[in-house]
Amino acid sequence: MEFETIVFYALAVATVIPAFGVMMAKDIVRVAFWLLASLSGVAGLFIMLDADFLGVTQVLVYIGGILVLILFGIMMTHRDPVLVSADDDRRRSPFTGLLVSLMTFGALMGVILGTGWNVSGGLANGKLSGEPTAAPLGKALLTDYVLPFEIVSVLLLVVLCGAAYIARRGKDEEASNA
Amino acid sequence: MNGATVADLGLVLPELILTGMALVLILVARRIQSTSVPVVATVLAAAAAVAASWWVLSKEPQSAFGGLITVDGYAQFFKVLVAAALALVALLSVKGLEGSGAPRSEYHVLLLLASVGMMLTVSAVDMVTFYLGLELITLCSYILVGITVDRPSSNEAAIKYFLLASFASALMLFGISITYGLTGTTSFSGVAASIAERGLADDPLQLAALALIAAGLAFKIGAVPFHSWVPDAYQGASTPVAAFLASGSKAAGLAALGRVVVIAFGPDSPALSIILVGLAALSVAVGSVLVLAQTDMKRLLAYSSIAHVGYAVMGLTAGTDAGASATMTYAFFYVFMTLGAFGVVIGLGARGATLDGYQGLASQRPGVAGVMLLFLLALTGIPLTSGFVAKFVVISSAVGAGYVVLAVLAVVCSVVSAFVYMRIAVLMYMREPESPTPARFPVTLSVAIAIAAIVTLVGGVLPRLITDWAVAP
Amino acid sequence: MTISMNTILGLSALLFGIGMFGFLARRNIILMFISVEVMLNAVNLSLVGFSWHMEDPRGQVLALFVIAVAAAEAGIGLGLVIALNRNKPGAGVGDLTELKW
Repeated sequence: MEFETIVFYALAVATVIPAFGVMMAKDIVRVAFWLLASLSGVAGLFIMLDADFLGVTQVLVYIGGILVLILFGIMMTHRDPVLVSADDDRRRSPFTGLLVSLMTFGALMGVILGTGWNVSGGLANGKLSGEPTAAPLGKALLTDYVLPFEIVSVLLLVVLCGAAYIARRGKDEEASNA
Repeated sequence: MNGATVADLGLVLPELILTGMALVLILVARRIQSTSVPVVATVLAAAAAVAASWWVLSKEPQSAFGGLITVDGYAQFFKVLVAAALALVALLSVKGLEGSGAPRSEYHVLLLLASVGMMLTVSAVDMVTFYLGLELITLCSYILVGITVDRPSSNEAAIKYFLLASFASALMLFGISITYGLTGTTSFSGVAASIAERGLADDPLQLAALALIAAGLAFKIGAVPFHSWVPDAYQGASTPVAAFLASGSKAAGLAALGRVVVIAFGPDSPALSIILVGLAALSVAVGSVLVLAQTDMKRLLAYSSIAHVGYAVMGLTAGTDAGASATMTYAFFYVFMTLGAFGVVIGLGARGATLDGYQGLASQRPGVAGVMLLFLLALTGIPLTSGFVAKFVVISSAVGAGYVVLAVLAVVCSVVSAFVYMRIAVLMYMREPESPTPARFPVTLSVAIAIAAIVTLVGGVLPRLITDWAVAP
Repeated sequence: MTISMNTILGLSALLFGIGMFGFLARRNIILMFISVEVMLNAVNLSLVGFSWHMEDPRGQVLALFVIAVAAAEAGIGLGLVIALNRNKPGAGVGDLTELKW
């Protein structure tokens, strides 16, 4: 086996095992750290798949942003025994979930293994292999995909307004702390 | 693809008007003291968006932004509908938000931007804009549902909605991703061409992708079995927000579903027909039966909306252009009748929240009771109201496609659900009042209800005024 | 690299299944949210895989948008959790009983 292939499989294992950890861990802070490992594994896989820009974005946004946000959420609700532990006795029996997800996974795997892939899909927008992807992606975002790009900026504006309003302290609390 | 030009901006004029007004409202948010300014601004923006849609429609149908969206009669029809729903909901909010502690301008900003999302969704012909438009709608909706932060039920509803909606988005995205991988393209017409050319219609993986996308979309429109968030979100949200979710969001979701069905996955896909028939039958049956057990008006209207979505989806089961235009007609009339019913609920305030509040309304406020009766008749589907026309076109399109059993089920269920609507009518007309006469409705609210009532009546008598505009993509 | 598309998509489906299990089995709001993030990562992995396989940048562009939307959702979700915590300290999904599930 090539060296790259071995690295790919190693990264795959480094993504999936922490993902199991995320689902199994009892303590929510441990869950967050398992998630860190899994997200890093995905970032590595992105880089192996010639998506260097996405790999870096994954580290910046997912690990630097979303994961930190989740940790903030955990800490700000820390007094809360229910939110912090993943408490088994309050958990619904996992069997329904296990059944549904196994069925979905099995069905997907079954059809995936039977599929031959379209190799000639690559279209007019230029090849990606081996080149750094920041330039072509940036170009695509500001030419062909300028409308979706703007939709995302509106989306972030909505979040800015909405999340700030929803998470602000209530009026009575503000008054008592003033 | 050949990129975007400045001329493309003219084609998204309605969206630009609404976004611009939202930005202005954000900038002046802290200076606005009166409640009427944002309402007037929203209504004006919606009116301008309708005018802009007419203007854009007067040109040839064309695609914009390198084929990511299209500007055709189908999109403009739904854009006008979305703008009308936005204006009516803004008018309803004058009374509906009183004392809820929700911030006036932020609330209207979110309504405006959610409408932008709806307009983009209805004109999307590419998976990318389709996904982002739907996400813009849902993100605004989470915040709108949870905007009355001091009320625990609002917060709870927002969290349930948020968790289930993000799960549904993930399902839909996996479907989109697989479709992209199989067909090598994200544009709806490209997907259809690739499926036809390479014989993917029976490919099991493509079917799995189709099922995932259908599940995600069924969630967005609240069709059974992905409906569990609907009653909770409507009940927890403030009433105008529930009205907005029931009208604008449903219409946009149905429009997106219609385009996916008619253009991307093709009318010839038997699997798609089975999925749609299943969704329609389950939604109609479950919605009509569960609505009988409700005593809270918002939950009642929520289950009614589930059943009505089922009827609307029936039009799409045919997979033909005529079927799609039946669904368009249904969406149009349903938006006005449900907004009218929500308007009466809002106007009656605390008394309107439960069924018992309607006792003896006719002797106290005959006008209000009369209008409510009209909306109830329309929701049931009685002739001479728009509800009958709407049900007639979708049921006949299902019969035309050979789904006679589905059509019979729809008729039976509409008789079943008539019991609950008629129960309200009986309470209004045949009981003695137990509570004091409700206060007069504010002018804005009366205007909104009057518009909804006029559309419901005129649509029932002269349906061609609307159905002529309902042209499939 | 001799990796077949089936391997990548299989890996992605595995991650997706794990996330789905987490969403359906866990009864803690933050954990359910984390499970959705795992599912979105699975989707992104498949998108990037297709993009690599077909040498077409569109999959990567779509994955980029998915990451942006996920970040936006995270912001709102955590805002809602904090508001819930303020209204009802100690609430898990099991405590969301004001409305019937």
